[in-house]
Amino acid sequence: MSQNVVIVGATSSIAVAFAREMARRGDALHLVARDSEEVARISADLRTRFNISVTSSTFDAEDVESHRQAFEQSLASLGRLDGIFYAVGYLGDQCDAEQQVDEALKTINVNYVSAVSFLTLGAMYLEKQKQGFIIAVSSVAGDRGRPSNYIYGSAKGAFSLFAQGLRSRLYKHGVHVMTVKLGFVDTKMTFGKPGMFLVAQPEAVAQAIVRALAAKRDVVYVPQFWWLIMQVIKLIPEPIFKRLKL
Amino acid sequence: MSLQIESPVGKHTHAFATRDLSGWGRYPVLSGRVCRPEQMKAIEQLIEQLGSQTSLIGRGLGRSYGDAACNPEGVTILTERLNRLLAFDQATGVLKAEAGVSFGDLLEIFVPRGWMLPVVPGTKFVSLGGALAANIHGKNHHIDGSFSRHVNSFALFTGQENLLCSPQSNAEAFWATAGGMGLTGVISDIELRLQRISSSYIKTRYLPAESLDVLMDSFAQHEADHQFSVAWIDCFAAGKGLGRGVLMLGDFAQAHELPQTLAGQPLAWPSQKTISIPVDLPEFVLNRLSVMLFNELFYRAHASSTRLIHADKFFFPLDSISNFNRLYGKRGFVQYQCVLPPETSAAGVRRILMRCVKEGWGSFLAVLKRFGPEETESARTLSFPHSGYTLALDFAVKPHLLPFLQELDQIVLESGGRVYLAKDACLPAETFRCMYPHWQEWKAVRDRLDPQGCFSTALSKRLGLA
Repeated sequence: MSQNVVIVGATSSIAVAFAREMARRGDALHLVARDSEEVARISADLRTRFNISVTSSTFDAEDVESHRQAFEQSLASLGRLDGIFYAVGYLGDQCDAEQQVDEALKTINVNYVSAVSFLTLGAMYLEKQKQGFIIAVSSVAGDRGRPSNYIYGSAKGAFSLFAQGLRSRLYKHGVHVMTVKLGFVDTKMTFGKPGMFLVAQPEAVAQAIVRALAAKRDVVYVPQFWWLIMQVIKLIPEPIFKRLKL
Repeated sequence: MSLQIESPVGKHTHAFATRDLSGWGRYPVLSGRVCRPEQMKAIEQLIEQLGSQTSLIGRGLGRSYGDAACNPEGVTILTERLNRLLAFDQATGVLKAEAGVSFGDLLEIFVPRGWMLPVVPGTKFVSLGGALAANIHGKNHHIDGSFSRHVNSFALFTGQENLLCSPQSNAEAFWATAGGMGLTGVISDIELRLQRISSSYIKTRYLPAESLDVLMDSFAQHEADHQFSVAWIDCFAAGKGLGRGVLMLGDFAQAHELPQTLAGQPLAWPSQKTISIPVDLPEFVLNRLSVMLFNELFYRAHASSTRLIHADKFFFPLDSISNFNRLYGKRGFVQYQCVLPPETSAAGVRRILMRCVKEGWGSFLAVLKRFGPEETESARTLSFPHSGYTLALDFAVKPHLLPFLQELDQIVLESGGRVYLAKDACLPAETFRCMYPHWQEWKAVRDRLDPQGCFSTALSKRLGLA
């Protein structure tokens, strides 16, 4: 059965790959992102490739005032809402974020505060509707604070906790919340960065997310082997961990 | 490595990586900086910010054979993520898409809707932009011409602006870019006309020919009646059998001509699945004996016959092995493709084949094809297709290959022909200038489009065009 899905942060390569997977199944999509020109190109692509209905609206993740309007526009365009894919992310530069309060707060705002803002609106709607899903795209960086990316990691960790709580709250109302913890994916966030290994393609990631959604998984690491890596990393005692360069 | 760029649109960070770059022949391999924009704007910003300091080039799927899409001294812009389809008119078959999209994607989407790409090369793993930059030809060149004939317009980021080019407006830029090997700028969006089909199967006819003369007669006699024609040549046959081969002729079957078993899905197209060769094969695998054996078997298997073949197998027989270039061993290979004018091609092709036999440079794949006439506008550019016969030969990279290729260059020059820059890895600048006598006219247009000289490649430097 075709579903109506809102994709937030729609210009990221993971969101684009996910949108193509859903479009292949005939879903109607509404894209939300900041860059209207890019959103127009991505919408045209989905329509042309899959003959589906695609609408869009623009918002600025950092400007939470714009969220209500974007959400209401999504609802108006789709008529009914079955699911939300939330994939807004900003890695920024850890060094900048350590030295500049503005940069640190921006990282927190884009990755966490905006998610709370948008998904609170979505959760109220789905709770009332008593069906639907939310996919919260988080990161393995949120599993443990590391010197190389703890500001980004703390925002993603908070987002994972938020999604966890939301999952329990909405479960009773027939709404499924799935947390996706991404490892390294071949996107512009990771391109050319040193120390990358086992980098997954966005298409493979999107397929794994769609499979996990069908299986109603609660928390899923993508690619899966990151579950094992993160279990090991979480087990390292703090006195040792703080001495590691990770 | 990343670089912060301030631009009027805001602050943008372009990430760069260092990669070993090569073409499909895996010779030469050149290390260079690459970046991979995911938004059209990013290309514009890269040119604006970096164009004056470092040289740039767009790269599609890297299926040119030599160094045409390698820019070791500057930045190679990977366009693979700029692959969005922008519009399609089911009634007219006019498609607008970003240049990074692959033919494989397009075929999977549009063949089931009854539309075929107007010109396809021997692999579907090429990008739209690459196809235009090399002005590719296919098995239907004698009927449908080269790729540029089917392009309505395209947008080009030159060194200075974003220029909409068509045969009607900015025509000079249009023709200089078709076959211009990416050196006029980065192609962003392309609008082209697809061709209507009612089935995805080709009625294929095989005609064996025991010598080059018979083969060429066969071309002359039959090709006008068929949309597709190409011949395979046995490079090891000598003496009377020199240039023996099999002419393959084809036409799209109409849906109503299909047998019952296929009629249910006349426009079926397989999803992209491939097997791969996991390692470089040792160089002795493709030796004289194994290639001779293959050729003998191939020749015998294609007695005069007619078959119905799926278009994917007909056009892209080698695509099912994802990296068949590994067959040639780790040193890579060179494909030598030339075109000779009609009046000299019989003698010229014979001389080339005789050199191959005499020197023992047998080619695993040897392909002969007759080109039809080309647009007059493309005669004064770097575009390869030209009326006459084109011959393509593969040679594994081994000692003494270079002097041998220069011998072949000499034959091509004496015949008034040229080699295909999209395949080339070895051509010296002086030879290039003789083969493309109008290169200066092309360069004058290029210099007007890109006065700062933003765009260059290892190929353009080798040919003295940088």
